[in-house]
Amino acid sequence: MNTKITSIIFLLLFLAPIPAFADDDDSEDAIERLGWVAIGAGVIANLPFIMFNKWRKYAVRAGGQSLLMARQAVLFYKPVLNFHIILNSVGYFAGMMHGLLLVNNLDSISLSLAITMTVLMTSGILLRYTSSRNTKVFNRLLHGQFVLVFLLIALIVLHVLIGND
Amino acid sequence: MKALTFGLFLLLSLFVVTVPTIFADEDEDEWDDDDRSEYEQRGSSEIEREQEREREREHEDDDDDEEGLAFGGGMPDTILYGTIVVIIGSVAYTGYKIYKTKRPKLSA
Repeated sequence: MNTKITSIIFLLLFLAPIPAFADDDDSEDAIERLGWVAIGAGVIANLPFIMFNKWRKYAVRAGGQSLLMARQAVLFYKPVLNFHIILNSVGYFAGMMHGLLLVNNLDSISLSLAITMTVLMTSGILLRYTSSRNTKVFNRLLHGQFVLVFLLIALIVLHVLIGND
Repeated sequence: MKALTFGLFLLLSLFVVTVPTIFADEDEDEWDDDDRSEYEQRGSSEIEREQEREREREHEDDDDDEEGLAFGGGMPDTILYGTIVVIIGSVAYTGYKIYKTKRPKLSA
């Protein structure tokens, strides 16, 4: 029963980008706004998650009172992780929809961005949902690669700059 | 849960296949009944001249679009190749890291 409710909420969250299309006659503007929804969802999904993990690591290393706080924060890890997964999924699908609707203006930078997003999304899904230990280890290392995160941010910035031109 | 995942995957695949088709450009060279009757009324040479002018205009528009790119011709392609290299490199590095950790040490 609980799984069913979670699945329905999860599916409904994919409809979250729809307000981007509300009350607008100009479809190009609405599609562009869908891209901003993707960027916004990505920022909100990742910044708190990365900060939470960094703080936990720092607290464990520091010891004492911080270690106790880090142990108590373990309770919050699962909800924060679910929030990260759900919002990233919304952002990914919003971004892909934005790309599909503007496929006529596809350039190399947008394609690079789509490839990078897909690699990170796939590794994240495999990391969360696979039961194989080897796949889990591989995807844990791949998903946390600094170079991929840096590449994603650089491509988003370039994509926005070129889109504005 | 498995059926739901399968259904979601099917829906997504259908969506990916249908959406680009809806937004794809119609073939402008295709003739419908109106074009045929217009061709018969106005004669071939006038219509051909008009089509030629239209083609030239489209060609000019394409040139303008290419000039509008912020990074010139080669730069975006370099970024695409760079992205592919970085992704393959990351996957290979991750695999190597795991291989190095798991490889049993040879005793002398």
